[in-house]
Amino acid sequence: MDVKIYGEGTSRVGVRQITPKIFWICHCIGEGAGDVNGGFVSDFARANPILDPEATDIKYNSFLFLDEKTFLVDTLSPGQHDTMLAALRDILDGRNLDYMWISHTELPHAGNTAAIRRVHPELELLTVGGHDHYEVHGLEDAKLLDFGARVNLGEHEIEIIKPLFVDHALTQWLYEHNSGFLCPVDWALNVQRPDQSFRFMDEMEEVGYSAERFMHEVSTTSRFVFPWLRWADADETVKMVEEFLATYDIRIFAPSHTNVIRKDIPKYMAALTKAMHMAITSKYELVY
Amino acid sequence: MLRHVVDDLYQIGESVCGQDGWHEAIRVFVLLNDGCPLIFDAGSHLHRGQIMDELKELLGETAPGFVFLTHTELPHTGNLSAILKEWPETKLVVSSAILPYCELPWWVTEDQVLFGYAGTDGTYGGRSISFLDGILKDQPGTHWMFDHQTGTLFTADAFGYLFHASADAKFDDELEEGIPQDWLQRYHEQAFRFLPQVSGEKVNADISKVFGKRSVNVVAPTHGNAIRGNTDQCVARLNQAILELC
Repeated sequence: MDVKIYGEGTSRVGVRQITPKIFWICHCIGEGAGDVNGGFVSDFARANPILDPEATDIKYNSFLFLDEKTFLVDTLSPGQHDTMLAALRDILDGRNLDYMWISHTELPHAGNTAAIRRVHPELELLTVGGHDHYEVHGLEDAKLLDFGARVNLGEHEIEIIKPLFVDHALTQWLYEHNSGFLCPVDWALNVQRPDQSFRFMDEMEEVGYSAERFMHEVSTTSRFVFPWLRWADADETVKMVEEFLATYDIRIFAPSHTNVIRKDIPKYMAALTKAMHMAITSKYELVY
Repeated sequence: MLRHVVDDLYQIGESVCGQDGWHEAIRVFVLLNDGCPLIFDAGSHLHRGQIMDELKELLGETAPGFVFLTHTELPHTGNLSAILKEWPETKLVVSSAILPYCELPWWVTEDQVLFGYAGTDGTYGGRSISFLDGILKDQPGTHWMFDHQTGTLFTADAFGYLFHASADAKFDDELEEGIPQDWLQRYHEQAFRFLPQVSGEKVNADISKVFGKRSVNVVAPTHGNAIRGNTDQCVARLNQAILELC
């Protein structure tokens, strides 16, 4: 496995190449993840006893397109400030950063925006249009893009697409037409053991992971990530997912908190579709 | 602007003006709590000067004991650095559903953070605060909190509303007809983009359970003024707004 690692623990970042021109910049803690994430992840295990109690590590992903133009997808959190900047510096290797796209303004996705802009004052900050009061979220000078807007990078053409599952109001998803790269942001969060860092999903299968386990994990994590699913209709949601999957030719499935899936996409999309039905129909109570 | 709400509850913070003159408030609430003030949300970085001036005016020589964060988005944490710089001994209280190392500024240390667990009560400076799930929320790690002494429910983004400039300084009981449904609807349509995908009846049923479980005298939304005059009316109007949006 070819991975370059920066830092350790809560600042650790690993870089992997998905294609010659698309890089995966991933933060996960590795050893000691249970000490940091334990309380949070134990909620998943309590909600679904089938889940692996040792899978305590959570991924935070950023992606970089290195084409004629360069394009960064999200920034990781301030906890990875130095390591993210170091990784970016090495991948860019002296090149400018042309675009930085913020999927939504939570700290794990946008927390290094200011730091990266200080290093790359030339970049254009991109976010989704159609809202109001952007200054409240620190996006007052961002270029606003409508759903359907495209950004040409050379070989790659990125389209800003309407998300199926949102938490923050400014959430947007991204699809790249040449590679079939889809970033559905917070959708499909899965967990991993501390010794399973920086693996593509096909490499997770080498250590015993499976689409079925992915389905059970996502059915559980989705209840926490998208708590509004408890009020949604399961059949309508599945229909919506199926229509979405029929619309986009996905060849690289690259969410913000999931192992990048580059092989057997239909198998994992089928598991994901079932997971969403399970997330809605499984019983779970709120604390009122 | 600094305003007294009820008892020892105060409201500070400013608003921003957006398209067509609609304002969005970003408030900070303070319980003076007899020498150990409790602050709810830290306010926006946009209003750092005003917030700090008002906090110092309100608190005088007394340092706040705790800052409770409803969640960790910028409008709620943007002024955290100024508060903790001024009063470095102040502790943060956050939802157990967040991971501080990723969701709080990097300079916040582990020993500064306390967790509130939904379904539990905690005592802070002698004051009992209950934690419950954020029922209507955008960020997963959002919790609602309840102060038993004043009967105040801190609802994060929920119950926010957009308003015209003339209503910036007014509580619901200072507006002729309270907070209109349209104002609530405008805010919730923007903030909770998922509402068209869900059942309004189910959302309202969950909100109703919160109010059925406790006697709420004041609703304190971060993006609106405290609702202290007629909470029943406001809940009914929010319910109607949600039915319209879903």
